[in-house]
Amino acid sequence: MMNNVSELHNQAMKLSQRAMVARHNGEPARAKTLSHEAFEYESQAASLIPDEEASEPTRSVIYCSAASLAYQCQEWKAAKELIKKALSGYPSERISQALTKLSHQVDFESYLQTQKIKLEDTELNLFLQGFAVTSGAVIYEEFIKRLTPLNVLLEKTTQRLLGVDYQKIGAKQNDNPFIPALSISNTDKNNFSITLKLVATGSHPATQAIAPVIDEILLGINLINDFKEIDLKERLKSPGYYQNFLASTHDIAPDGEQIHFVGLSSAKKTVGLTRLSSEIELDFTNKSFAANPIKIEGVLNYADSIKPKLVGLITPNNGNYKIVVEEGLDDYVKFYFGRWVTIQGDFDGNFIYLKDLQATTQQCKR
Amino acid sequence: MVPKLEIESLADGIPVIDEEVVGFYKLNCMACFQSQGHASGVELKVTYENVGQTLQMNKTFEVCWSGEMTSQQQKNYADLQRATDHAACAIALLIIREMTELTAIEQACIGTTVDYYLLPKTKSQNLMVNPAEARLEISGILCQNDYNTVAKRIKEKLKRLKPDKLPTFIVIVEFSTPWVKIVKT
Repeated sequence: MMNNVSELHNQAMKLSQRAMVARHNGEPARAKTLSHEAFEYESQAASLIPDEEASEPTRSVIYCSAASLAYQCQEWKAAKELIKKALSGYPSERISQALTKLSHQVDFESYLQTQKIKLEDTELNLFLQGFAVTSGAVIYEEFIKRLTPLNVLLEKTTQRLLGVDYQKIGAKQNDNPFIPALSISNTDKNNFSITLKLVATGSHPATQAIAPVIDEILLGINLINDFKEIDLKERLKSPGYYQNFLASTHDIAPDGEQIHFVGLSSAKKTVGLTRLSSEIELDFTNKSFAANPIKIEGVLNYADSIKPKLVGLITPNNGNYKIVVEEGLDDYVKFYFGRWVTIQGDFDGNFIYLKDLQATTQQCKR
Repeated sequence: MVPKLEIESLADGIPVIDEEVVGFYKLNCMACFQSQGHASGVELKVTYENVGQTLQMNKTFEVCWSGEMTSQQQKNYADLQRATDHAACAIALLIIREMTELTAIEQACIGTTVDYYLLPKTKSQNLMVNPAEARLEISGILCQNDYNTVAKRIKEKLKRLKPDKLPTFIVIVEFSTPWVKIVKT
């Protein structure tokens, strides 16, 4: 039987590669047919493998592959069933994580299709899934934590595309050619979705350029999701804009507990943000000093107007730390003032150089 | 004599590559090398570092292909960012076949953070019979610059990889110099 499984699998892989080439050569119909054939061969291969521990890791690998192929040819229902069958066996932790991520992607894509959401060029849809979400409602804190940096991304990306140098202090209301308006999208029992519509503020000459701003944001988030920070840095060039983009995406990203999946979509593109917030490390690779890693909890309590790069952290036992906030991280830190936070960074004995900042869900006891 | 790395031999001994797609990978390689001013026969330096054994090995290959790109093909492969990804895969798979006892048998599923699974060339080249013995993670750079260096890519890949029992080969292909760095974790 294994030979049969093997032959079916090999055939599926061949067809899948040919589909990739057809897509590249601008033959979408042929690519679709080949992808579909590949999916059918792989599903058949998977169905022949006995559901027993001795079949692993082959069983879950082939099921995962079949589900990926089903996803690629938009067979959402089949993809969900294949994922369920794979998880019902004995998959390794790595395959299990991959299947869970794929399951979220399938939910997101099928939601966009089944709800018939038609976005205009000026709109950006935010889709959330996780324990903090139920029946079209979301825990306010989890929602606002993501909406705020998304708004920052819209503002900063607009300024960057207009050729404005990175501004630490926010733009005046009149300087921004667009303001976001919110509209609730159709939601079902498993998700919360909202659409941001960018509205032109007046006769600003840049008001025609809304769609490129949205494209640029989705492209950047996609690069971070694919662990391609280097490509993003190369694209953005300005360290301030880069740090700001990275930090904003860090906050929008799922935490893996309250929010498992964040989807973003425009009229042209969809991005499933599956990389966890804790995996997106703020960038201090150019620092050349001796420092030790530190993780500490406390309240983020003040900003020094004379030294705008520094903010303070008071720990439960009244310890006082100074945290260096590089250009681009100002918007990111602002959201957490007065809140209990857990900070990770490098400590040189005087200052903490920030790498990660998360709101502490349960306050430390004094 | 400098050993040759024939792009057209991509399907030989690399089960993950279907013969029908060799031409596609060849054109991607040609687009990348030619955009950097290189022709068939260009020397490719490879540095192989085995972290566990603190071993470093250097080798040079002559990368060869036949034919020229038509103007239509040049248009089809003008997106050099995508071409770099595909061309890097082709070069990495060839180098792994030439410099190790392993070869690529399986492409990894979406979301697994690796690109291919490897098995010794001498074993049955089939995941159904033998579980994978190593992982392969690939990245390509068309032309290294201050923002985008081979060293930074290696660091990025190491950060991305989730711990696993299997060793991982990280292969970064740079088309301007051109050179390849392999790190085995």
